[in-house]
Order: sequence, then C-alpha cells, then structure tokens
Amino acid sequence: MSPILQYIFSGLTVGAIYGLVAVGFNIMFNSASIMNFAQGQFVVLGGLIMVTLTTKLGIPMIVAFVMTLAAVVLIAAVLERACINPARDGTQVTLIIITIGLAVALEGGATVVWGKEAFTLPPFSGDEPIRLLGATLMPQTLWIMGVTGLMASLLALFLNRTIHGKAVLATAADKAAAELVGIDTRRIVLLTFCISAGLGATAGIVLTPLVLIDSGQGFMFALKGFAAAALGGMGNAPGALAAGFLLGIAEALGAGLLTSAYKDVIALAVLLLSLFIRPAGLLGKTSRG
Amino acid sequence: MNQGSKGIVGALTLGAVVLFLSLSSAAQEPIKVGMIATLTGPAGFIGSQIKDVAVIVEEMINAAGGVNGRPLNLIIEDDGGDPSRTLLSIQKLVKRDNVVAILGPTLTPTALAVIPFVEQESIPLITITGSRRVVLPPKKWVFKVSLADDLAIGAILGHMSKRGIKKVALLSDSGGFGEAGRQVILNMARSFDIAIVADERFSPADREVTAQLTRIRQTDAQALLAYTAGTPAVIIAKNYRQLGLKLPFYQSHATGTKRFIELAGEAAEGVIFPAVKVLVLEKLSRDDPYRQAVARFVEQHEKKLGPVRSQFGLVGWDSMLLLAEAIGKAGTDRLAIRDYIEAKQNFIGVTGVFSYSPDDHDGLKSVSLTMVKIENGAWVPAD
Repeated sequence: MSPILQYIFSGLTVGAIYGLVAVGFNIMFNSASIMNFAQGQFVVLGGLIMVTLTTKLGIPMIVAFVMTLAAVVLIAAVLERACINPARDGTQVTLIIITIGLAVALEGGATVVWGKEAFTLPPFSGDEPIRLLGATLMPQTLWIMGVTGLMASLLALFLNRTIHGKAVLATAADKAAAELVGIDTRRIVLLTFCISAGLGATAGIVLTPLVLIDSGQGFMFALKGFAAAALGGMGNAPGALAAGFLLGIAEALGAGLLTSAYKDVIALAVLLLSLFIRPAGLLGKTSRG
Repeated sequence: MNQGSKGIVGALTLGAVVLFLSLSSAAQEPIKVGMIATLTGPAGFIGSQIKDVAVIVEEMINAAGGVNGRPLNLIIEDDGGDPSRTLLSIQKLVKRDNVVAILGPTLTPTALAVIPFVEQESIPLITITGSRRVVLPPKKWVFKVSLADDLAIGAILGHMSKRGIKKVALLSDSGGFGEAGRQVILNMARSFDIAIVADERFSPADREVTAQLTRIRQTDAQALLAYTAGTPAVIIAKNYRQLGLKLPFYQSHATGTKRFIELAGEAAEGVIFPAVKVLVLEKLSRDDPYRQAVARFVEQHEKKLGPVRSQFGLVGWDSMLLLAEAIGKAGTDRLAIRDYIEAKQNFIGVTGVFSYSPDDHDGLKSVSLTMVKIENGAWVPAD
C-alpha cells in the first residue's frame, strides 16, 4: 500500500476545507479590500448552529441546513451594518483590526452559548471508509470536496452571469468607477460579506461530521484560509481554491514524509517560500487596480 | 390586659424567641470549608465535575447530622484556571470567610501559585491535581489526595507488558497534557521492557492525524498508545478506524468519559485505557478492596447527579471525606486537622488508598485503577 497516496488523500480532506474558507476570504478582499479575519468564526458558527438545530431540536438535515445558513448570514449582515460599514472610509488597517475584534467577540459569544466542548454531526452518507488504490478515504471527504466545488461554481456563475454578480466584479475592479456607473458599493460590501459568511457556514456544516467542531477553532481556520488565499494570490478565486488543496497536501506530505511535530511550520514555510519567489501568489495579479 | 402588660409580655416573648434562636444556632454553627475550583475556561468542565461531587458529599454529611453535630458549609470560589485569580480566591477564603481548610485548586499551576500563601497563613490545603510536584518536596500544610499521571501510565505499560507487547508506537499532543505524559512514557517504558519505536506528535488544534498514523503503520509497532485528551482523542480514534489499523489501541485515562464514546461512535470500539474502578462497579469482584467505597460513591452520584459519566469528579469525593473525617476527629483547629491528616493511614478512597507521613504528603499507596476496554459502547474490564 502506498503511503504517499494516503498522504495525498488526507491532504485533500483538509485542503478542501482550507480552499472553501479561502474563497470566502477572497471575495471579501476582492470587492471591499477587506481581509476578514472573522471568516473562521462563520465556519464555527455554521457547524455549531447546525449541531443545535439537528441534535437538540431534531430538525431534519436539509431544513436545518437552510436555517443555519440564514442564521449565519443574518448575523453577518447585522455585523456588517453595525461594525464594518461605519468604518468604510477608514484605512485597511482599521478594517482589519475591526474584523479581528469581531472574530474575538464572535468566539467569546460562541463559547458562552456552546461552551468549550466539541460537537459532531452524523456523516451525510455513512461512516465506512472507501478503499481506493491501497489508501482510504472517508465518504464525508467526498462531500466536502463536492460541496466546495459546487459552491465555487455557483459563486463563479453568480459573479459572471448575474447583474448583481457583475456589480461585485465591477466594485472589485475599480470602486470609484463602479460608483460612477451607479453601483451602490456599500450594498455590494454587505452582499459580499453575507456571501462569504454563507460560504464559511457551509464549510462548517460539511466538515463537522468529519473533524468535529468547537467554539475555539475559528482563528485556526481563518489563519489557514488566509494562508491559502495569499498563496493563491489575493483576489484570485480559482487560485485560492487550488492553493487550499496545495496547502493541505503539503501539510500532509510534510507530516508524513518529514516530521509530524512541525506540521504547522511546514505549511507556513511553504507559504513564505512561495511569497518570496512569487509575491503575487501563484495565480495573482501583480498589482491591484 | 392593659397596654403596659401587653408591652412586657411582648418583650419577654421576643426575648425568649431571640434566646432560643441564638442557642440553637450556636449549636448548629456551620464549619466553614473553602474550595477553589476552575469552573470556567477551557478546564471548566473538570473543575465543575469536582465541585458537583464535593457538594454531594457536603449534602450527604449534613443529612447525616453534620460533623460533630455541626453542618459543613462549603464555600466555593471559581478561579477560571488563572493563578492570579486563585491567589485572590484563597485570600478571600482565608481572610474574609475564615475557613478551617481549603480543597483544590483544580490545575497544577494554580495550586503551585498558592502554596507559599498557605504555608505563611498556616492553613491546610488539600490539593487534588494530577501532578506530584505540589508535594515534592513535602510542605508542612499541603497534602495531595488524587491519582498521579505516572501511575495511570504505569497501568497502561504494565498491561501491554503482560500481553507480551514489546514495541509501542506513541502518538502524543504537543500541549501540556500530552507533553507531560510523553516524558513519563519515554522514561518508564524501558523498565517494562518496552521500546518506543515511533514517537509521533501532533498539535491539539489539528483536525486529523492520518499522516502520523500512516507513518506508524510502516513501523513494526505491536501496539498504539495515543496519549491526549478531549477532541484529539476522538479524532485519533476516527482516523485509526478509517485507516483500518488493527494494532491494540491504548489511550490515556482522560478517555474515561462517556462523551468520548458519544463523539467517536463506532471508532471508540476496542479502545483500552486505565479507568478508576468507579466506572466498572458492576464488574468488580466481591472481594475487591475498593468495592465498598466505590459502591457508596456510585449510589450517591446516581441519586444526585445521575449515572457516572466520567472520572474527573472523584477527587472531590475523596478529598471531602478525608477532610470531614479529620475535622470530626480533630476539631476545627487548623493545626490539629493538619496533624491528623499527616498521621492518617489506610484511607480507602475511590481513587486509591492513602497513607500519609511527615515525608510523604502524597500518600498514594495503591490505585483504584483497572484497565478497561470499550465494547458495544460500554466499559468492560480489559483482560
């Protein structure tokens, strides 16, 4: 049996998670030049709210899924109007600090409601490992990858084929020009914040059956998502997705072939190295308009 | 009756009532015992369980008439796992509440922080942490009434050795619990004729360890020892099952909670870990020395808090009972209580048998541990 293939499969599992978080990161940066460090908290909230709805209240999965998305998007909308919009003319640094503050507050709130213990969800299609070419894969991983692919495609469709999506792209390309043609960029920021929250919540829902969720994980997701987004080129969605997978695989290969003690270091080292060699990221633009 | 007589009768009645009340309350003036526990923060679930059990003991003792006719009053302070708050808590308990002795704190760093204070104030401190450091070297006023991590690890290694296992793969987390355990395991393995052929680490925040397990699979390890607590223990079990590993699978004593079985589901099957006998009361033999103490604990626990789901609360039981016995026999003078405990031999608790001496304030002479396996979602003795 080939250990390398197993490492790659493991990498795909976490990589898909990183990719989905990174895409959410990306769209905020793209349209509003905001690096939203609270992105990880949306992942956590998605998982935790889903757990409460299905396990404590017995609501069927699909309904609970929609309700969870609605809840997280609502929270995001309120936060955007209350905390981000008023600071829209501030500097990037100000906005980053605000999102960090939001991240801390959301984590604290989640801990008050759910405590520090971990929760799980039943896997969507069972718990039996899939054996493929000598390595194993969990069915939930396929769900994570599938959902990630679906979300990314839906996002691309939205951005390229709908009028609102094109407004988002326009704002991302040139905020002033977008305003000149009548786009209300403040509402675009609200829209993208809600979209990225929805992406984060979706990630949280699909990963909880596999790797559990607890209130304290938000920061870690945000960090890995940020690393993937930066690796892929800030502002480049396919890049973020690809970079997420790459990062996950690099981590798994590093832990498997080199040393498991410094797994996190490997991931960050890969990031640093690639930024030295190609500062714009793998597929990024060399300058922002 | 005229106004004046009514007034005199009223005053006499009032006086009689007041006298009666003060007499009865003097006879029942409570004995104040302080307790510091970590009730909030990441370790809050540990301190909360200890506190819940301590409260059961308080109620149990008071329902039976208290200590020497006086009720026990347990005054509880939460330190949130923060040593500076522990210090504030203990100052309050000693200076404001004037307690006769103190139980706790929950975590080793918080305990170490208050030892100088109790030595200075001359008040007995009954610690309940897992590390022996609090009583090495022995301090005059500090005692320990709990299991020690190295004994739990010794039980694991002993079981492995009995099964003829000579090569073990270790997977531990890089946090405090895992790191401390790893050191002990690496030191103790040789004396059990066991070689640690793989020493894999992971961060407590990691979401999966299939890479580490895949590496372990490529060694000639005969058993896997995953030394960690909380969520990582569950994740390791799930990954172990995913990879289809068949090695005997041992975990730390922190796995002794029903929550592990709930979260890991199928993946919990077959996991072996050292558990206090409380978790397997029905399986204990008739002449097990701990049977009586354990049965009493389980009965009280089920009555007040429901079925026993984890072993964290046990130290609350042993420490309260030992302290109550000391107060009952030696009175409420702090020095007398201290002297009594230091001389106590063969206190049979639910965690072990304790015998103290001036050189030994740890007292643990044998442990109420047994190796347990998870089978069909329940704990059974591991052969």
